[in-house]
Formats: sequence, structure tokens, C-alpha cells
Amino acid sequence: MNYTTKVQESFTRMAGLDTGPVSSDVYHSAKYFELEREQIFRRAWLLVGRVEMLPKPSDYIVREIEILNASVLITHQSDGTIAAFHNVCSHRASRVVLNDQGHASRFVCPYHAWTYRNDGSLMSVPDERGFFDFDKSKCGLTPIALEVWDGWIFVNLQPVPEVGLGQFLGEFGERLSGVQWQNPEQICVLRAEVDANWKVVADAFCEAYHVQAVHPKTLAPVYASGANPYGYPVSAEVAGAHRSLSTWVNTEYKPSARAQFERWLYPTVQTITGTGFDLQNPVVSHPFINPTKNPDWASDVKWIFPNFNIQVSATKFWTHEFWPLTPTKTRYEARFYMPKATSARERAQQEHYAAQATDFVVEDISNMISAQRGINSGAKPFLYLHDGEMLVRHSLQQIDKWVRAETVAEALA
Amino acid sequence: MTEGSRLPPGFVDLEKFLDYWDVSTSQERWARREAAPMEEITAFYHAVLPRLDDMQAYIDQYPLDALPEDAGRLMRLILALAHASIAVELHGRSKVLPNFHPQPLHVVAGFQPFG
Repeated sequence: MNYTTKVQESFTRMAGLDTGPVSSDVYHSAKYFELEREQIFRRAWLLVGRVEMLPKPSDYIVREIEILNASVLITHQSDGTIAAFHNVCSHRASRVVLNDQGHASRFVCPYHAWTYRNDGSLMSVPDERGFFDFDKSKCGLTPIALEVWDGWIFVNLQPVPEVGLGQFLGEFGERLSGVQWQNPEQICVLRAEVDANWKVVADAFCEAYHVQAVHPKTLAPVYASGANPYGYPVSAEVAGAHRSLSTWVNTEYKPSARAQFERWLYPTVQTITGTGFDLQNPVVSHPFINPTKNPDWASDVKWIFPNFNIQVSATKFWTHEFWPLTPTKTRYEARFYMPKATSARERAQQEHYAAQATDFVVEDISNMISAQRGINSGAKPFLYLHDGEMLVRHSLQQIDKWVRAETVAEALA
Repeated sequence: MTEGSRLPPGFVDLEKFLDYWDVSTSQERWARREAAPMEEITAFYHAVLPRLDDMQAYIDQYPLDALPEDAGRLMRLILALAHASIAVELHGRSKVLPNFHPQPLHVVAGFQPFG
């Protein structure tokens, strides 16, 4: 029996969403992109990383938010707190830090060597006497609002954010808090500039309906086959601006007889991501991970509005980020977190995982480019969405709500 | 160790693969696999596969983050096999999408060591 037909209720209807076709215009309109820039990216809390990216005092990272022309310097200060600043010199507005990560307690602007402490204050100015009515204490780096939630770093580019991070995350944050994000110290990072709207890119990582067609060899045998050939989710729901979907795993999956290397890698366990049966992993019992506790659970998509997607399985987590560059260009980044390997076999498992990940992302990117070209043609003013694609629908609905809302409180209401 | 040998004793048969497959990052391994003809990938795959247990035993004598040079080369051959195996066991060809150009994706940081 087909898995889809066993489900009585539609996830889309249960979430209170419309079921009609959606407009494709928002995926390429320059006018809509401008609205997204001002109404969403300049007002929402934006997830930019994890605290493990800068574990020690004086560690720093720089994250670009191209749609706002912002370069964000995030520092681990000597008192242990993390702070964010515009990476812009108070003198002639040069970029102060050129690396994207490092370790330094002070930063020297490469233009005229103005020097800042990592708390943003201006420390020294060459030939300071030559300036007029000069007050160094007023010339620090411009701060950016930053809050940390369960190790996740968010920034808000409003000079004074209209709402705090807690209100922005709302019920979703309350329900997701307390997850043990396992092995956050070692990261494999994939990056691409994709010729597609940021929503086209984001939409590719929130449903398994495409898995059978796009990933017939790489992912389908595990996530869309057997009783569930179209990868219908085991559950899906929304909470405020954010959303969650739990994917299905084929527990019957075994590497094929000819996959001799894969069989050498995994002599006992089935896959590197684990399953809902891995009860020794505390994440499996968290109430908002696989919320229906379906035994055929593979992983959760936790899509934090607007452009950050955390995915979590029994044994690990990984993230997808979608940073708009132009109406039809996006910087995509994936981060896969793993424990540090201690044996040849463990290290080989990680390489095999990375090698598979690159190939399935290439399959996705190829598809994004194709979809964007089709959207740009204008041939299809409306798009049809399957129940399993409910998160796409909720994303579009929320984006439109933010675009129209005069205040953030109204957008979140 | 045999004079001029870059691998531990007993692994001389794998020397011939070092020049092409012993590279330092995941991105380079992926690029090497995509650029290699399928016959070369298959030959490498079948040569290394039966040696995996011996290679593992040699490498695991040492801490993974402080491998001697020769053990490091063995480890990097296994990592290259991880990429080669995808071509042999999954795709049946060097690249996942043979006609997809140009390739916009990069592994900007891999797992360590040798990622």
C-alpha cells in the first residue's frame, strides 16, 4: 500500500494553509526582491552561525549579508560574551577585517591603521592630534544586535530591533530548546553561488517529494522507496514564522551487494545518520524532534525564518543557508557537523558521507537552475504544491506576510 | 622500507596510484574522481578494496591526527577510494551529472585530517 494513502489528514490543511496554486512572480520579481530586502532581511533576526565557530576568547568570524551590503564581524570577547559589529572603519569606512575567521584581540584597519579592540572600542589612531574635536570614545565600531539561543547565533540589522529573539522564535523556539546539538566542533562546509532566487534554493531542502526523481541513486533508496516512493513526510507542522517537517526512512534499506566499499564502511550499522531506533541518542527522545515519534523517522527539517534550515537525525545535524545576492542569484552554504574521527574507518565514513553530499547537492543545484530558467520565462504564473511540499507554501505565506506588515509585531501576529 | 618507497612494506602494489590519488583535500579528491576516466577509477577501486583491512590495521597503530608520512598516504588513498567508490557503486560513471557545467559547488572545508 502506498504510504501517502495511509495518512488521513492533509498536513497543509492541518496547518491552516491555503491549498490553491501559488504565484511564481515572487521568485524573480526585482520589485519583490527589494521588499524582501527591507521588510524581511533588514527586520528579521538572522541565523548566522554557532558558538563553536568561535570557541575561545579573541576568536572571531566574519559573515557577509550581501542583500544588506553588510559585513558582520562577530567576536568572542574576553568576558566570554559574543558581540557583533559592522566590519566598517569609523575613519573612511574601509573594511577592517579581511579574513572570514581568525584569532585576534585587536583589529587594525588596513587603510590608515586605526586599531579596534574586539569589544568594538577604538584603541588607537595614528597621529591623532591631526583630527579636529576628536573623541575616540565615539568612534568605535558600530554594534549590531546579537543574541544567542541554544548555541545558535542570531543578528538583527535594525539599529534597535523591534522585537527580541525570544519573541521572534516564539513557540517554535520554546519547543525546540534543549536539543543536544551533537558533535558541533568539526564541520565540512560546501558553498556555491547558484543562479536561482533564494527561495528556489531554500525550497529544494524542505521536502522529499523530489527525491525519487532528482536523487534516484544517491538518496532515493534510503528516503523515497519501498512503501513510500514519493518521500511523503511522517509529520509536518508550522509554528509562527517557522516550520518543521520529519522525513521518512526506508528501514529495509541495505547497501547493494555490489557496494563493497560501503559494506566495509558499515559492517554493523545501517547508515551514518542513524534512525529513530537509536534510542541511546538523546535527541531521539526530545519532544520536538520527530514529534509524532514515528519509528520510520529519518531526520527533521527545522526551517528558521527566513533563510536558515537546520536538519537533525538521530546521530548528527547539518544546516543549509540561503543568502540572497540578486533576484536570481543566491549564495548557498551547507555545514555538516561530525565528531572527530579516531580511526581509519571512521574517517573514511566521513569522507564517503561528504562525497555523497557533494553529489546530491549537485543534483539539487542542477534542478534549481532549471526551475529558475522556467520561472524566468513567465510561462507559468502559478505553481502547484503537493501536501508533502507544505513547508514551501508556509514559507511563501510568511514571506508575503512580512513584506506587507508595517511592523515586526504585526508580521509575527 | 624499500629505498624510494613512499608506502609501508607490504603495500608496494599501491604505489602506482599515489601520483594521481594522493591529494590533500576532499575538494581535490572529488575533482580527481570527476576528471578520471571510469576505467582508471575502476582499476583503483579494485586494487585498493582487498587491501582495506591491512591498510586500516597499519593506520590504526597511530593517532589519526599524528600519522607518520607513510601511514598518512595510506589514509589518503582510502579517502580517495571513498570518492572513487561513489562512481563505481552508485553512479556507474565519473560524475553524478555528466552534462552539468560549470560546477558551482566547492568543498571549502572538509573533515579533518586531510579534508
